[in-house]
Amino acid sequence: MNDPALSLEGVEHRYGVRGPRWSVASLRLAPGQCATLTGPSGSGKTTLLELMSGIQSPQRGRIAVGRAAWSELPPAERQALRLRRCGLVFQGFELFAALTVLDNILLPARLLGLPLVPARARALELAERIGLAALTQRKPAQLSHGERQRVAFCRALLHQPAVLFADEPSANLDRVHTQGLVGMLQEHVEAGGALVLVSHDEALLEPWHGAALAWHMADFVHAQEASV
Amino acid sequence: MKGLLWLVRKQLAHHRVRSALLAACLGLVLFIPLRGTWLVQRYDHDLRARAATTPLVLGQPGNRFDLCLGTLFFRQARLRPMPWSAASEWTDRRDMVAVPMHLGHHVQGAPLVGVTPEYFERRGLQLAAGQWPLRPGEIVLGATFAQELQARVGGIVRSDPAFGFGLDGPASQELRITGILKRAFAPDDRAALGSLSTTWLLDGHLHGHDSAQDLRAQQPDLVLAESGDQVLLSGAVVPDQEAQRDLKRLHLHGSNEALPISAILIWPDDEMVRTIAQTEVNAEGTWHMLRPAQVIDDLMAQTLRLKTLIDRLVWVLGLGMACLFAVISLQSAQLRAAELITLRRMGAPPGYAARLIGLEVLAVALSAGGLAAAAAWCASRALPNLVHVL
Repeated sequence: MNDPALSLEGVEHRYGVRGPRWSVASLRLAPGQCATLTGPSGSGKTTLLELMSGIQSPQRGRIAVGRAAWSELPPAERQALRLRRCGLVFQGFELFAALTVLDNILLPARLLGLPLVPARARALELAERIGLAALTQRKPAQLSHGERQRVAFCRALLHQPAVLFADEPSANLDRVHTQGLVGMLQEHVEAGGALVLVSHDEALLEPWHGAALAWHMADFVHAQEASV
Repeated sequence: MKGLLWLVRKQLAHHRVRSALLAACLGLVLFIPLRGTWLVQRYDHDLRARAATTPLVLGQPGNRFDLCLGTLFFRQARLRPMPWSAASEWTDRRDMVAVPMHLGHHVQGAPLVGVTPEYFERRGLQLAAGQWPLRPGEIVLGATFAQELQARVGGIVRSDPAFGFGLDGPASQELRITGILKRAFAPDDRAALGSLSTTWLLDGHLHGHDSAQDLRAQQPDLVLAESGDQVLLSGAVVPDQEAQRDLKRLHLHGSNEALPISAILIWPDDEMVRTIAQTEVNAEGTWHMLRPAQVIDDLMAQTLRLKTLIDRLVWVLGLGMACLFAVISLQSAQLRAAELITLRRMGAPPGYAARLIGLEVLAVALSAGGLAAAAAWCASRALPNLVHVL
C-alpha cells in the first residue's frame, strides 16, 4: 500500500490553558485525496492546519507528511520538508510588499532554488488561469483583497506540493473566481496531490461533497467523549 | 543563498530612497575620517618630501613655519627681506651650495620666484621646452602652471601689480616665457621661476626709463632740480614696462648690496658643515637658520594632534549614526514582521529572516563604504595637492 500523503496518529493538543482540546486518534490522507475541514469560528481549524503542516507541534502524537514525521526531524529538515512538500494558503495572504505579483508567486521556487525558466512559465500560467495575467508586475499594495488572495493561492501551488493546505482560500472571491479556484484545486488532486481545505464557503465545498473526506472540528474536540 | 540575495536586492530596490538616504548618511560619516586620514597622509608626504631635499634655510628671525613654508612651497608669507650683501658670505663658500631666493611676486596668480641658476640644478628641474631664464624679464613656467595658462615658449605674460590699483608702486611688467619645465610633482610645477634680477625689476629697484638728458630737453616739467651733472626727476616719469625689449636702459639707483632677497636655501656638503653653519648662525643671532625637516616634524605633530581630536569627535558621530541605523533597521524589521514570519511558515531555513535583515544592513553599509571611498577619491582628485591650498 502507498504511503499516505498526510497522517496523524494519537495526536493531542490544547490551545492555551483553557482553550479547546483536540484528540485525533488516527487520520490518513492518501495522495490524490481531499479532506475538507469545517467547524465554527474559533474551533481551532487554523491551529489544526498548522499542526498538520508542521508550523506548530502537537503536545502529543505523531503527524507525518509522507513517511517523515514532523516531530522526528531537526528544525532545518522540518523547514526544508515543509518548503518542498507542502503548499500553504494563509488566511491573511501574507504577500511580500517589495515583490511584484509574479515575484510573489515565484517565491517558493526562489527559496527552493528551482530552475527559473520553467518556474516562471508555470507562474505565468497559474496567474493567467486565475485572472491575474494583467497584474503580474504590480505590487501587493496595488491589488484588491481578492486579487491578493489569488496571488497567495498561486504561490502555494507553484511548486506542485504533495499536500496543499488551504485556509479559507475563497474568503474574498466572487463566484466566478471561486469556480476558477475550484477547478485548479481539482486539477491538483487529480494530479496526485493531497488537499486539506478549510472553508465555510459552500460554493467552494459543494464540488467536494461525496468525493472528499469530511472532517469536522466537532469530531476532535472534547476528546474524552469523542475521539476519531 | 541566491534566493536570499534576490530578496535583499528586491527589498532594497523597493525602498530605494530610504536605502540611498541611509547609505548617503553613513557614507558621509565614513567619508570624513577617511578623507581626513588621506588628506593628512598626503599633506605629510608632500611636506616631508620637499623638506627632505632642502637641508637648510637661512632667513630673517621670525616665524619659522612662515620661513619654511614660504621658501619651500612659495606659500604667501610676509618674510622680512634680507640684503643681497648677506648672501655673498654663503654663495662664496666652497663647502656648500647657497641659493638666494626672492619671493613675493606673482604672475597670473601663481608665485613668481627669483633664484640663481643653481636652484634648477639642486631641485633637479629640467626643461620640457625652451631655455633657462638668464636676463631680467625672462621666466620659465612650471608644467602645471604652463598647462593652465596654455602658455608657449616665447609667449608674454604680465606680472600681477604689486599694489593692486595703487599708482605709486612699481608697474607690472611684461615677462617673456623662455622655457617650460618638465613636471616635477613639486611646488615648482605651479610657479614661475626667473632670475633675481627679474624680481628686482618687479620691485622697481631695477628699471628703465628715458634718459635724464632726453627728458630735460623734451619734458622739462619732469625735471625737479639740477646741480652740475646731477638731475632730479619727478616721480611722474613713467618707467618701462617691457624691460627686456631694451635691456640697456635698465639700471639701479643705489648699491647692489642693499637689494632685497627673502631667504637663502643651503645645501651643505656634509652633516658636519650643516651642523656648524646652523650653530654659528643661530648663536650669532642676526639671521636664523633652520632645518626644514625639523620644522615640518613640529608642524605635523601639531596637525596630527588636531586630527586625533577630530577623529574622536567623528567616532562619537559615527557611534550616534550606528545607533540610528540600528534603530531604523529594527523598526524596519518590526514593520515587516508578518513577512518574516511568513518566510518561516513557508519553510525558509532557520535564521533566514535574520540573515535577510543582516544582509540588507550589510548591503547598505557596503554601499556607504563604497560611496565614502568614491567621494574621498573624487575629493583627492579635486584637491591634487593640499600644500597649495593651505
